[in-house]
Amino acid sequence: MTPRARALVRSWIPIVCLVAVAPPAIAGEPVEVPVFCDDFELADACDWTAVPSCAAVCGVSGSCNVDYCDCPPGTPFGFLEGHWSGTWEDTIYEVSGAVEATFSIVCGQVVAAGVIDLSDLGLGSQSGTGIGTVAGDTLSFTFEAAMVGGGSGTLTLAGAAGGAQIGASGTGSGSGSVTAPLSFGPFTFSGSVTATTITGTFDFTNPGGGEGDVSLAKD
Amino acid sequence: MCRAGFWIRAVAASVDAAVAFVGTLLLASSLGFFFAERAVVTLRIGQPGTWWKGPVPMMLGVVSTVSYLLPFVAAVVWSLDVWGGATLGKRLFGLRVRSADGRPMDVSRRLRRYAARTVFAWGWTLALLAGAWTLAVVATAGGVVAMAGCLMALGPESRALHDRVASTIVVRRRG
Repeated sequence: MTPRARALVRSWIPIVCLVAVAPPAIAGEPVEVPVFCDDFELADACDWTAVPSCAAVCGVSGSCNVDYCDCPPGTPFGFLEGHWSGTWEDTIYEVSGAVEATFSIVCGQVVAAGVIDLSDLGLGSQSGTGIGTVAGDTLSFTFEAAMVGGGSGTLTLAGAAGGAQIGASGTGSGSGSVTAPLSFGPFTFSGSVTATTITGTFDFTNPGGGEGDVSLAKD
Repeated sequence: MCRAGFWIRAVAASVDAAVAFVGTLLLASSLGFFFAERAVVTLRIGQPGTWWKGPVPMMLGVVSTVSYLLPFVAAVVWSLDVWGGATLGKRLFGLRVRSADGRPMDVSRRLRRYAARTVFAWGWTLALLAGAWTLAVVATAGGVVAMAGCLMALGPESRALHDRVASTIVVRRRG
């Protein structure tokens, strides 16, 4: 198949695959969904940006084979997907700013991209990324921002029996450290998550370090 | 020997600052923790009605084990001027502090120069130890004057404010 022909096939893949009936993405075994993609080779099984068909079929993401999509087990953290925005405030020093994040589920992992407004500290807006791995009802995540630092934590769902994605909620906690060039000290955080809100507190553990609140709402 | 100009002195001072910073980092988890706790008491951090809030106090606060210890360590590093006639930075660049007439400093000049130079560092250190925020305010004001006084070394005599207070000069060995 010539590159041009292959490109032509690629262009039709999303349309063909969108016709397929997608099963509900719930926790459990991978689901094979025919997408009639014969005579098509995929370089990256999970590169759903190149082949969006399986993302559409599976509702989230999926590893694509020659003629079917392997939909990953549905994650109970699907309710995080979307754009969230809110504020952070240090209640000790009365400094605040905006914060926003976008969560998506990629290949069964929770991926986040966020921006925190540190203009009050003369640092402008700092962007960062995060990634979380799901194990049962627990999400273990790490996050980092080049100019600020990073951390890790866990989020455990409560009342998400059977991997239900609607109305799920949970509590989480973790720790981190703000690194160079700011070299802020270590901090801890804890909070709770619902389908529409994320609220939490942070505490720089050094004496005299800041502490405060973060709250986000789903747009 | 000739008088050291502003920029060579500035570079030497930068070396001293780097030494002080490294020393502070090494002591941050021990002595730094103590000074940070003293800062909470002295500056009434987190207490109702405290004036110590806003962006700058916040940034100092989150690195409290470093920021509140640094003045003390800097004062110690600068004390080499008193004991040995030159700090590490000055030695590195062949600089020495002398009396205005070129002779070695006597004790009185050494102490006067040191006091004028470290008014901010010792002021803050003593303020934290004594829990007296008013002393910190005075030290800060003195520090601003001392810092501005360093720019006097840009003049033809290459003498900063603390040199004039103590009737000293900084000389550089030729070669």
